[in-house]
Amino acid sequence: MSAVADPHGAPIVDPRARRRRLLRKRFLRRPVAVAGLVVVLGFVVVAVFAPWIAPHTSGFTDFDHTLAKPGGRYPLGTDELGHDELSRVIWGARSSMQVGVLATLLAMAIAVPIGMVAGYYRGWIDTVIARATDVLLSFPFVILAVGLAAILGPSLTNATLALGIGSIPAFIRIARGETLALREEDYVPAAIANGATDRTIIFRHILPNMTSTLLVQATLTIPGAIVGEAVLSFLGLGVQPPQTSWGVMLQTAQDYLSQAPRLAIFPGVALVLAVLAFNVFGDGLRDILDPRTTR
Amino acid sequence: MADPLLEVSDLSVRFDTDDGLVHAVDKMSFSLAPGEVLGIVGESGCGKSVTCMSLTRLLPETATVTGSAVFGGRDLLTLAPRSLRRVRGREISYVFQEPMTSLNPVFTVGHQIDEVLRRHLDLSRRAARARALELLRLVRIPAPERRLDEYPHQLSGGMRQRVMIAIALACDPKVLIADEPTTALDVTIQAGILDLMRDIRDRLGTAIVLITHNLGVVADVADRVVVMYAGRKAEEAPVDDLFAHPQHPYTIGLLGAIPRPYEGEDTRRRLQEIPGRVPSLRELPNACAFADRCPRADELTRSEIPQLREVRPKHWVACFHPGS
Amino acid sequence: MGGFLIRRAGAALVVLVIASMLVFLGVRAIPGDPAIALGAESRDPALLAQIRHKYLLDRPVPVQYGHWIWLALHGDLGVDQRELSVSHTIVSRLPITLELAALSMLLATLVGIPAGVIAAVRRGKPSDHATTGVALVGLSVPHFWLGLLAIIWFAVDLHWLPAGGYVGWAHPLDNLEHMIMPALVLSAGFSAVLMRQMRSSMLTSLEADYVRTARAKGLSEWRVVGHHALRNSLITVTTVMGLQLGALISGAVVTETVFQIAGFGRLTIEAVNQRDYTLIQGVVLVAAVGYVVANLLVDVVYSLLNPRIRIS
Repeated sequence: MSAVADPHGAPIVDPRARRRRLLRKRFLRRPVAVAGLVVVLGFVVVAVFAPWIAPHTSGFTDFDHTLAKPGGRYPLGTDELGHDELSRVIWGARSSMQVGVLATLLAMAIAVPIGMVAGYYRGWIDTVIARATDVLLSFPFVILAVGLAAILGPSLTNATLALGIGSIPAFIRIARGETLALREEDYVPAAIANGATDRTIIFRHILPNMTSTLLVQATLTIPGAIVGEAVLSFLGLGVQPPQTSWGVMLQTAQDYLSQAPRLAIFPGVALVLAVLAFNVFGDGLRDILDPRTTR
Repeated sequence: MADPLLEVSDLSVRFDTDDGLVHAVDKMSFSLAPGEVLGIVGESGCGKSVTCMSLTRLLPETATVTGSAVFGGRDLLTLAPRSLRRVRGREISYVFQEPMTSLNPVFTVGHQIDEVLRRHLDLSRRAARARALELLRLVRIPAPERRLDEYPHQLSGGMRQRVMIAIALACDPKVLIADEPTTALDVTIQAGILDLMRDIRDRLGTAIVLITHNLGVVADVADRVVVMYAGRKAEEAPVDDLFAHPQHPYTIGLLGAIPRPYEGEDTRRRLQEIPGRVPSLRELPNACAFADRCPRADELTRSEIPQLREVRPKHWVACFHPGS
Repeated sequence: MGGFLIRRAGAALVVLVIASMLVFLGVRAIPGDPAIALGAESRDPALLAQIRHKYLLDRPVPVQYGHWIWLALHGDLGVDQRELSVSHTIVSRLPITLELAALSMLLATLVGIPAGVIAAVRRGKPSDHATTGVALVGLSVPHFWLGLLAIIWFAVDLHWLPAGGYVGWAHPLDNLEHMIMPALVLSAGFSAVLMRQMRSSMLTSLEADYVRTARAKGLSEWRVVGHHALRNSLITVTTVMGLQLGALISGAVVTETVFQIAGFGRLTIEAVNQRDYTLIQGVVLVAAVGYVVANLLVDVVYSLLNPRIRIS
């Protein structure tokens, strides 16, 4: 869609650019969401540049300085094996981000096509998919992970898989809902009248209009996956040593709660910050994209 | 007119929206006599609903209401909330446009009628139920005993509206304000509801304020009519005089836009539409609000707000160039 | 109402069947000889032959599946590595988890729903912002971390509550003492979700036409909010409760691990760690069944509460 001229000779404006400006304005009016975005970007930077930022590798140990207090050479102290907490927190950010993003992408890659097929073609396929999704919508991901770990053995990959599969029903529901609504838009019969195939309509007309809703859902799924990974690692079903994640750190911290509570606090705070930032940003995003919002 | 039941003076309502102030109603004044049916007519957005909702302060908090609405010797707009709640439902009651959503879907019909009876009249359960049955019969709902225990979604649109009317009449109010009561209903059902309104006026002597955009409805039921445009009163007259001798160009335009069946060569004509659009309610122009669309517009109408003048007996119009 | 429930039950049944198949095939999918997996990795040929016979491993897979399901429907889930009846283990540990879950749901309801109502009624005011903010944090804090913190604070620092473990019903006060922290921790996320849903639902209800009618009737604001709006919102929120059940189960597993409670949740982890496949099979199956049944129960409750579905 290119520029539109006003019949009374008003200046020509590009509706897409105008919408982007409006969204940016709305976003800037929400300082909390902006703060969330900043923190999210911070974590992304840390995760991507971890090999350069972290003072030590995640497997590095210093047996002479186990359970050291924060300060000096080890700004956040060390754990019972002499791992540098600061480095581990940074490497943990990398694992968590990785899992969070990959699991979400996996879920979307599988769920969106299924949801679109269900919403577009309706009929018995839709009934089957919709009902199955209803029941599985909140299937406990831990049980899923337990099952996968039992068959394939615990690992970061399997944890990602379990989390991705767990997020599929939610995305199916969203994709289906959006498709159901969008296929009623006027340009669909117009396109059909012009000889467009189902595939063209789905990919060129319906999918692009779904992206903002999908984006919001993704932004709110990633923190769930991050927490999920922490939970699974905490339970021993996820990341295995020498790789680390915040969940693994919290698991070892459990045994030293009375001696060194800080071992539980640092990774925990990092986890909460990351999740909170995503949630806040995602909430703000959903708010500004909602057609009913007035500011 | 004998002592009016309700006297509204200089009522103005403005809304505080994110895009600025919207002046929905500008210095409306009207009065209502006991037992009369007053029709308030105008197109969507002209302020007729807002005017009537503001009388018992049912508008959201973003609305600022000024002026006065004197009822029973007291100004409703400044009345203490507790006293106001005693007026609502008891002396002044409402019937709204959408019967499906105006009734609470999770409570039975009987419960919702019961509620208003027990709030205002100190009736025992049995007395309340008896009165509820009486009310349902009054609004001509068949098999009322069964209906009492049914839920709104089990009733048809017309019946739901009758239930709303029953609730509104439950405590024998002096004024019934009906906001587009038939707009959401089929044409065939509309006639029934209007019959009911006439019945209520005749049998119970309730004064009715009937808000509508449909002149046909007004011709059927009303005694007097107020025509509103862009938040202001344009014309006010007894119903027969309004239809026979409309004064304001807007009213004339509205009457010209009523489709009439073909009655022979002389009366065949095109539907006249009124060109242009309703002005934005954000700025209050210091001129006649209708000027842009008026065939009689001139310098005067564009520079001053016309005041109400009595041009025929009991027939007021706010226009610099009235006349049919 | 019947139609609604039958469709839900039908879907649930289908999911259960598929889930049971997946669980069954999962164990068979482990690389290597299933007899070894089911026999706790022993390589004794006599033992393996015994296991093959017992689990009908030389028969076609569908027969094995049918046999397993048949036994399961009669309550026999086999024996685990230590020759203990799986069903018995599960049955003895399940009530503990159920108590934890019930307590959490109760706490979450008592906190989340009133908070949501207040936030909606006082929308935009400081109490709304504060409550919504707390809920957002509650959503973002993983409850096992909350549990660890709670232990550090209440058990280690203040010595008010025990750091973990479980005491049976014979000593109700002790039982409560041990359960209160885990239940509170588990309820945190749930309350936050409930509060947000309740707030959103109340905001919608308060804008509805029937609220305007209620006010026009002259009813007090208490009645308008607490009777008319609230009833509608509570019904909507019931469906949310259903969506949270899965999270509750996951949460129970984690909470029991943090607080060293020997409940059903913990059993799932122990089973995986011990590579006890019969136990894993039984546990995952029971969890799936429990989840589906619980969801169905929520559907039943919802259809009873909502007159539009109850009478249609």
